[in-house]
Amino acid sequence: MKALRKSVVGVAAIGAGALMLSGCAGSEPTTDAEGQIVVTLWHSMRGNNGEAFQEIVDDFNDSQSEIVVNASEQGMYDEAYTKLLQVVGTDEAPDVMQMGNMRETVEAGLITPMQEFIDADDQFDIESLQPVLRASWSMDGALQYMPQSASTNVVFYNADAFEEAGLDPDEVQTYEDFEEAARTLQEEAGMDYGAAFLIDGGVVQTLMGLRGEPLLDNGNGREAPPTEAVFNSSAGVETMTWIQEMYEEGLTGNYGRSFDDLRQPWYAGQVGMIGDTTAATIMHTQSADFAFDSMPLPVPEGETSAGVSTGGNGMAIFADAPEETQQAAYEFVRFASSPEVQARWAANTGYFPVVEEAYDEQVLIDAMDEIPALASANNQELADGEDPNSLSSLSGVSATSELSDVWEALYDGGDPQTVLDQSAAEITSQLETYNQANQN
Amino acid sequence: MTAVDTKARRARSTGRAQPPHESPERRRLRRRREWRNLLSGLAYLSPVLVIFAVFLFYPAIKAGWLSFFNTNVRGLPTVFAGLGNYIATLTSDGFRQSLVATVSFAVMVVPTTMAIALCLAVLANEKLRGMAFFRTVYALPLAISAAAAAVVWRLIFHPSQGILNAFLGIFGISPVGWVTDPNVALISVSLTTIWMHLGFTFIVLLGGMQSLPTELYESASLDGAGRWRQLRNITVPLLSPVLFFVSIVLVIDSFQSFGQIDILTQGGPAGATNLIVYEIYQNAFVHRQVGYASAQTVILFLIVVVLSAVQFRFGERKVHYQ
Repeated sequence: MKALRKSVVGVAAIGAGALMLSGCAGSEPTTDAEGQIVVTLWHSMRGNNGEAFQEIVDDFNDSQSEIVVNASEQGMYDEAYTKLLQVVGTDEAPDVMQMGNMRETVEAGLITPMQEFIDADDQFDIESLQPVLRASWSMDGALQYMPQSASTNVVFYNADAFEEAGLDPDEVQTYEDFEEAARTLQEEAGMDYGAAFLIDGGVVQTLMGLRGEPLLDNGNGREAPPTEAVFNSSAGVETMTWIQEMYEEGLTGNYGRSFDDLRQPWYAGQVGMIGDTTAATIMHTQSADFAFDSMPLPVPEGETSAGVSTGGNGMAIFADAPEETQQAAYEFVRFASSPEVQARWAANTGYFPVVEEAYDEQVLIDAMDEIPALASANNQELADGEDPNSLSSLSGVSATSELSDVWEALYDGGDPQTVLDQSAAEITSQLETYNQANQN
Repeated sequence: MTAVDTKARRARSTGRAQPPHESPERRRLRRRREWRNLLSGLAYLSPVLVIFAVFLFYPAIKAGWLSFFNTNVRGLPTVFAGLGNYIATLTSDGFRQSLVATVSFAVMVVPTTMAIALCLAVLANEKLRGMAFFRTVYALPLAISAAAAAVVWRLIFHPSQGILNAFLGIFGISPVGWVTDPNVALISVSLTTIWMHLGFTFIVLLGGMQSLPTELYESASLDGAGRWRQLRNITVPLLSPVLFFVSIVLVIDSFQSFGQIDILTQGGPAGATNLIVYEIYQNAFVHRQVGYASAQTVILFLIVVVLSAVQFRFGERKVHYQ
């Protein structure tokens, strides 16, 4: 028994020791054999975009000899964030990460605001960032993440099919135009479905943002922590009814929640238009064997677009990392948002460049000349960032994941107002719990 | 199997009577020997006990404790909620929905898996040339991970490119939203799960059949009993301990299904396949309400305990131990 007790105590002591060791990760940066500071970076870029991202990392590592960035892909944003929360505060945690969830990380004190690094750096001009991105990644009056991969949802359309059906993309501006175009594609170009959307709350976010309509109160959580979901407004009902009616008429197909499942039928010429992220533009050029282009998502009749706001992700630096490592991580972040790198990044993927000067770079000018969808996406009018309701919501509780469920319930014949009311009540109650547990 | 074994052992140990007359000196010695046995037994068990303590008992107790709190982003308890999380769970539509979905799922999966596996095992129990090949094939799903199987099934179910819809198209049947239609998705997930469990169930049943005494079959066929009669009156009754064991494992497995759901439907469409474990995962790791998720875990634990107890109480009566 004594032996047993000893071994239990031993195991407990080892466990406690391990916890303490990981707890005090912070003082000394990790270095490699050559004395270079090792910065661990997590990202969510896959396929073509993953290769383009690794290229940036390699270029940075080759450009100097003090810092080595060690980048690894950790799954989609949600998966990567789930992983992060399991390891945050331990040695396993990354030093810098490409991510969203800004309100949570700021309120939990997980990150060092990007503003602190920028204020101490006289080479970086914060004014060079696109205003909408600067607004999107700021909170409490300071830039928290550095915008790095900025994208938005647009409509990609089969330009050959448009021509065959005698459609003019410039005339597809409103919900009705869009419906009519889908109908024509089915009738004239023999498509299974005129259009299809990914079942994704992010698309609802974009549709509402274009109209300057918030999902949450307090200016989408931009002016103060959100306390209530408001996407069950008349605007929300109008937009979701439009989505439902097209589906019920058989104009749009249901391909579920996965991008890959949505893109296949479009590549195969079974669907004419898909709502998809601009981040996929270059991937589409590799897979579609027809001419294609992109256009903004439509707005209801009689409304004008409030300008495109952006999703995607920013670079966050973690407060738990040793100070020197954080500074080293910032060096990479600044490199990644420089005009030359951003121009190449935009040309190789379809993301918007985060700095305006990137548009002066030859590589991006050439790419926009060559790929119509890239030019169309980049020529959209971006929101000015002044109206918080046109920016994505800033909340500790994600309204968008709940909106995916709403979408499915509507495809199943639910009444838009009822379903949105239920869902809004659910989000409001989650917000209450979140605010209680995180802001006291 | 383990349930069966322990029961048998218990029967044996209580059957051994203590010596009626024993001197105090001998009794003392015997007690001491028993103590020593217990200690050495514990020492041998200690690796397992330590592992259980670290990976099972501690997390279980911690989950119970967390269930009384609301937790922040880091998963740390910040606000004492009392029974709030339990009340919220029991009154929430989402939880009730996922409970209903889980029960329907188990009802679809368990009997079907057992029936198909039993058929396959009966076939594979024949002594024919090349039977080893078929046994291997039938057992193959056992060797495939839930994730890999689900990815393959996802391709099969694909709305526009899937082979199932292409096959239906030959007969002019319009495509079915296998994983996108709320009325069909649970059936699709069940199909996948049945296929995944077949290998294991088949192996266990076949193993059970091969250990059945051949004399019974010989005398039965002398008496003129046909194949069907032998199956009904000899194989199934003698196999009942194994069938019982398999049914318990399958029920618990269906209550814990996760991988195939995450890959096929992510709990959708509109919550149709949001089984309890997935609901808990979502609350803990997606909505980051660890306290609420812990309360749901405790409730799930109680449900599984009660279900298993009921199964033992009523199912075991029909079990024939040799």
